[in-house]
Formats: sequence, structure tokens, C-alpha cells
Amino acid sequence: MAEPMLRDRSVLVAEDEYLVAEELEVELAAAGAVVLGPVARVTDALALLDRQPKIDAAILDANLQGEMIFAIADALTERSVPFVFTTGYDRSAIPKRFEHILSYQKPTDASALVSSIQRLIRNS
Amino acid sequence: MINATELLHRQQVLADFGQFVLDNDDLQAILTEGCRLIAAALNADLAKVLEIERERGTALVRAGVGWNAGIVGHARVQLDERSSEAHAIRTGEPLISADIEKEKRFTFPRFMREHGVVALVNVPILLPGREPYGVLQVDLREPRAFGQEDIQFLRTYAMVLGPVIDRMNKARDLAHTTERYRLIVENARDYAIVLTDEQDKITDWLPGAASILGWTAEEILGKPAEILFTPEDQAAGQPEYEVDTARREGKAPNVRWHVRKDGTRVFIDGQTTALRGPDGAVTGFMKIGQDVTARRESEERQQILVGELQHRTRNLIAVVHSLADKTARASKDLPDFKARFADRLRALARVQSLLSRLEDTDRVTFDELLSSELAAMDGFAERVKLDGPRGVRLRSSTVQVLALALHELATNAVKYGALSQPQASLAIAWRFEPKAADGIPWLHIEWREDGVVTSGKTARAIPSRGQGRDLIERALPYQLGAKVYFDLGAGGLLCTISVPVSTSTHEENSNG
Repeated sequence: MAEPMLRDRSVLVAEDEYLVAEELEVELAAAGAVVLGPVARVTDALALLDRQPKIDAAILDANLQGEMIFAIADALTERSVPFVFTTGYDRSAIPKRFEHILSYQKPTDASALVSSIQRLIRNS
Repeated sequence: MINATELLHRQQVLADFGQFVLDNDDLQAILTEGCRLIAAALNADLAKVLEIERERGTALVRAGVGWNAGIVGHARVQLDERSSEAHAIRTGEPLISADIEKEKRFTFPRFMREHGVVALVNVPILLPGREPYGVLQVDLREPRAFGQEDIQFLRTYAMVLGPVIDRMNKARDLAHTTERYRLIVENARDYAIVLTDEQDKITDWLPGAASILGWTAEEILGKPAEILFTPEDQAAGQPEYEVDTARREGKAPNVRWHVRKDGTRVFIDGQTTALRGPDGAVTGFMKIGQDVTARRESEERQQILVGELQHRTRNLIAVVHSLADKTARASKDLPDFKARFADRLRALARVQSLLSRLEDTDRVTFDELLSSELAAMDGFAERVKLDGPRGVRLRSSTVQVLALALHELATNAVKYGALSQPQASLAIAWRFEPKAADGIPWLHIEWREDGVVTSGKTARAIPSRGQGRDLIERALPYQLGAKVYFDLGAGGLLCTISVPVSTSTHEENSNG
């Protein structure tokens, strides 16, 4: 079996839909990653950021239970942590300052997200 | 040949008529007086003015003296080749018929004969620019040979009439136009119409502007038009930009929020047009706009709703996808998968139909959600004992996962639990706690199965409950912040679920 692509990489998952979060978790774990979270609320995500010195990448649902995730996105940018958005809204719901960030429209393909995260980590 | 006294008299008639015209602005009265004076001056009983009606090919007896009722304003003559009036109009020269009995060229209308007319003279009336208006006609009841002096007198008279008629008609048209203009601007209350000078200071403030924007004319005349713009647009230089664009290109769109006197905002869909003087220089601006606030707001609302719908649909597909994935992992074979998956899809569909019936600020209530789930368990619902208040409102974002959890509980009860054994019972109780220790309202649900006999067979089936149990024990806390207790005791399942519920109506429907 090939070396898991994300061995020992810490990936933050913010997604408020349990079933979707769980699927991502399974997929990331299968690729060898350490899943941080998943979290369903912005406050939980912020708390996790404070606790975790090592974050290699993140998958951020743009809207967590009605709250936009952009504070987390800003914090990750500051820490130079690469991330992608997932969203049920149009691309236009994402502020201009994040226009270089990849944004995956829901429903997303978990394995495609995992490869995207792997590329981001490799290039960072 | 007329004598000097008579000549003087005719000059007096012209002077009197001139005087009358100066003192009157009613064309009908002037024409009638004109007929009266000319008839008197020529010792005739009858005189009239005929006005051409081009579209009908006729001339109408517009005014006259000596005629029976029903002639003036009503009688018409045909302007054909047998008409003396048409002939006079065509040639532009007076035309005398000294005795109509002997007249071979023309035929005469019946009403003329009925009035005993035997001689007449037609004098064309020309408007400025020599445009024919009609004829002045003097009618006599005995044959008369009109002299050159008569003709000259009539011609002078008709030449005075033409400009008088023309002035009256123009004044009438102008008054009509002015009145129409006044009616339009005063009634166009949905349109703000504002004129400004070259510096864009307000010079005209029409009633529509007052009713849409709130200021009276007295309050706003002389003020710069930029005070109608929002502070944001003013700071961005939008008023100047608009005026500059209109100056350069003739007009500029003005489609934006504006500010009313009371500070509220109104969305105007309009245009600024540069007004130019005869030398082409811009003398000011005209701003016309319609209040489309209601339309604008409904469009914005529509856009939000479409966005929400799209979001909800995408999320739903994501959930279906994950559900399929999860169900597949737990299924023995394809028929097993098919049965489980179809069953869960139906539960999802029921929630969607509950949600889609909602108005904006409505919420699905817990009892509605529960009865929709129980109604789907045909035949079993009447065995369930229900106890709890109606009308506990659920946040829309919580409804779907809660429904899936209830569905798992119900499915398991039918397959392995209380509803699979006749002696066993199921009671669902719930209560609403408006203000828990944390200050927010909670809903407490208790699912209690009793009298279930655990045989070896059901015990072996229990591991397969893992999947539904996972949804209850993990998804509810994760997604809703719920507190869950799940215990498969000797007599059956006891499951309690406590969910924070929002009472506010403005909370977001969305998640994800």
C-alpha cells in the first residue's frame, strides 16, 4: 500500500452538518491525517485555533450555523496555514480578500477535497 | 357709389370691432360680434363665419347673426366644386352671387333658401401665412349688386379677422398645453421631478418630489441637489459625477438610494438630463425619477430567498450523499442498502415538505415534526403514548437532523423494540423549559420503551442499531449542542434528548 498522502498532517475541519463532517473525517483519516475537530461552530473553531500550535491545513465551511467563518480564515492566513472553503452559497458570498482561496461548491467530493489539501500542503 | 357718411360709418364699424377684440378673449363672442357689425354695416339681415373642417371636407357655421336656432354650431356646407364657399377659399378672392336663382356655377344649401337668401358674398378668411381658415359670408334676402367699396370693406374686415382668430387659437392651445402640463406634473406623484440650475442648485420642486422626498418646495429651493444623495454617495463624489456625466453626454442614469427629509431612504430609478440654452450652453439639469423602493426591496428579498434555497438544496444533496455513504458502509448487501436508504430518504423528504410549507418567520414545531414521523409508521402510531405541549418552535437549522434522529428511534422501535412486541409499550414525553440555567430555552424529549423482552435473536440484532445510535448520540450533540442519554435497559430503550431551541424569529435559517 502506498504511503498515506497526509501522514501525521493536522487538518482542521469546520463543518456544521454532522454527516458531511463525519464523511470528511473518515476520508482524511484514511489518508493518514490527524483531524482537528471537526467543529460545528465558529467559537469552537476559534478555541481550537488557540489550543493548537500545529495546523497544517484546514477545510472551512463558509457558513457555520448562520455565522460566517471569515474570522477563522483571517487567523489562518496570519499563521500562513493553507485552507479551502466549502460552501452551499455562490462564490460571491466569499469576500474579495479571499478570492485566491479555492472554494468548493457543496455537495463536495470528500476525496477531491483531500487531494486538494494534499497539494496545498506540498506547495506551502 | 356710397356717400361720405356711409364711408365714415364703415370706418367706425372697423374701429368698434377692433375695440371689441381688445376687450374680449372669447373667440365665439368675437366672431358673433363681427357678424353683427358687418351685417349692420351692409344693411343685411344675415351674416355668418364658416370654418373649414378639412377631415370632413365641409365647413361649419361657426358663428352668425339672423339665423334660426340649430344653424350656428350645427349646419355645414359641402366644400365641393359646386360650393361658392370652396371657390372663394380656393381663389383667395371675394366671390359675389348677386342672385342665387340665376346662379349657374353653384348650388346652395337648403337652409339658405329656407332663410330666404337670394344674394350673398363670400370673403375668404386667411390666417397668417395665407392658410385658409374659412369664409365670412354676408347673406341678403333681395338681389343686390355689391359694389367695389363693399368688397374692399369686406376684404379689410376679413383681413382683421384672420390674425384675431389665429391669436385666439394659439392662446387656447397654449392654455390647453399649460393645463395639461400642470395636470401631469401635479398628478405624477410617483415621479420626483426636480430642476436645478447650472450649479445644480434646486430651482423647481414639483409635487411628486415633495411627496416622495418629504421636503416642501419652500424648504428646499436654492439648496444643492446633492443633499438628496446618501452620505456614502456624497462622500464618493457621486452627485458631481452624475452632473458631469449629464453635462458631457446629455444625460446620466440616477438609480440609487436617496435620502428623505426625515432621514429614511428611498430607492429612485431615474435620470439626470442636462438642459441647454439656445446657445448650447448647459443652463441646468432636470432630474426625473420613480420611487421603486418596494420593488427594490422585494427584489433584494427574492435574491436572498433564491440564495437560501440554493444553499439549502446543496446542503441537502451533501447530506443525502453522506447518508448514502454511511448507509452503504453498514449494509449487508444491495437489497439491505436499498431498503435502509429509501427509508431514510423518505424521512428526509418529510422534513423538506414541512420546511417548504413555512412562511418566512414561521417555524416547524416539535409536535408537528413528531406527528409527521409517526404518521409515516403506518399502523404503529396508535400504540405510542404522547405527552407534551404543542407549539414548541424549532430552529429551522435543527429540524432536519432532529427528524433523522427521531426516525432512527422509530425504525428501531418497529424492528427490534417496543413496537415489535405486542406486550411492550412506547411513551414519548416532552417539555419546554423557557429559561434553563444557561439563560436559553431548552426542549427536553424522553423516549421510553417498556416491557420489551430481550431474546437471543434481538440481542444479536442490537449491534446493527449502531448506525442509528451514532446519529442520535453523536450528530445531535455535534450539530445542535444537544445533551443525549441513551440506555438499552432490560425492559427496552430509554433515550432522553435535550435540545437548545431559539425563541427569536430573526435567527438565521441557514447553516453550512
